[in-house]
Amino acid sequence: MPQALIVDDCRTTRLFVRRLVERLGFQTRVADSCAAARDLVYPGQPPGFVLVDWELPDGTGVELVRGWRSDPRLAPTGMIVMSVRDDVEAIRMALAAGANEYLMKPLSRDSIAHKLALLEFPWTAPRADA
Amino acid sequence: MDQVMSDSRTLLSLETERRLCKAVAEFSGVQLDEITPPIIDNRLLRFLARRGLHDVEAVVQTSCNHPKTELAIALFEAMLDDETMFFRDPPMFADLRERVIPELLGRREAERRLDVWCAGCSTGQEPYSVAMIIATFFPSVFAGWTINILATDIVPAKLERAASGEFVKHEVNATLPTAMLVNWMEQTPNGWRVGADLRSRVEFRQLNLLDRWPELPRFDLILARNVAVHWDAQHRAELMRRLGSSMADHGYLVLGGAETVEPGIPLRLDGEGRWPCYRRTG
Repeated sequence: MPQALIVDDCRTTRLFVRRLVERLGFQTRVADSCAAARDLVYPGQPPGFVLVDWELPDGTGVELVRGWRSDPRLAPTGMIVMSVRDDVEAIRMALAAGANEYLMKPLSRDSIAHKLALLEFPWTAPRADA
Repeated sequence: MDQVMSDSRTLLSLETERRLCKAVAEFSGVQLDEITPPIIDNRLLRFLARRGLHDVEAVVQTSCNHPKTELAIALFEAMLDDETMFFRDPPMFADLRERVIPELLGRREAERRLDVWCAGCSTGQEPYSVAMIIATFFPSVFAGWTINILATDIVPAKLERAASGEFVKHEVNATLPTAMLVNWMEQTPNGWRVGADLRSRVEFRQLNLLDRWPELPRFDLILARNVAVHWDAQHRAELMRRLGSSMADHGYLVLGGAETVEPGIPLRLDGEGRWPCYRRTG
């Protein structure tokens, strides 16, 4: 069963997202900090995808994504940054760090399902064709 | 009166409910009795609230008595399903990108022209999504070819909104790929707006699919997704026939996920790609 990693320091958000993602058929693991997330992402099989909040107590979700994207083992892992920040600068920053998608909070049941459906396909042109 | 009321499924009396169903079917082809009563009630109540009216029975009866009035048309429009979203059914758009559009570009290479029709476009998310796919994955085509995207709908107010290219946060948050959002839309004080270049490629026009159609090109690609899903079989079949006639011989027709084409219509199912579509036979 595919794995998902949910990283958010807010307990209610973690529970809400976890329940939704499990209903969609994924096994989940949760972390409440960058350190805990790094501990969970590496042992064993890389997660199919990660949902990371921007603001974490010991760093940012964007830093996590940037670090993970430089690791070829995590190349197949879809990365979604979630945040209350809804400005284009924040969104560009997340994409530049290597996030596949960005989800503006507040989250809804449908918004998570829709974003996960998008992870399956590329939405940017390969550089050679541009 | 109580007996009649208890047989009806919506806020309306049974007789008025029947009259409304008949009027909406004549107006748009949509069979309201295929839609669940709570949804119909919801649409009725929202319509009344928007117009500052309070007697639902009277409003509907008056509209059915005078179906060409502004009130009646607005009521019938309000009973239609206008749900749309960016990149609805991502596998369909992936199929457009991987298979359908490359093939169509090969066919039209001599003329350097592509004709697309999004029928039942509501507030425009679907035609803009098609434009984004072409602009992103076929940039030289987008820059150098004539790309005509016609987008039609029965409701003028929706078309106005669509033409403005303006969307609020929740409309762009979940279904629009983030890369598409930042590449093709600009943030505004109220939300987001499709960039001028992309907006200029889509022509929004009012069209009731039941009516006589204006002269149209033979389209390379027609998207008529979930437009006639609540139509009766006879009107659906007629629409499919007309859509087939509006396709180029090499053209593709894409319907909604749950839709099929009745036998006897000269369209064949193409199941080669990620998403079913229809081609002309003969």
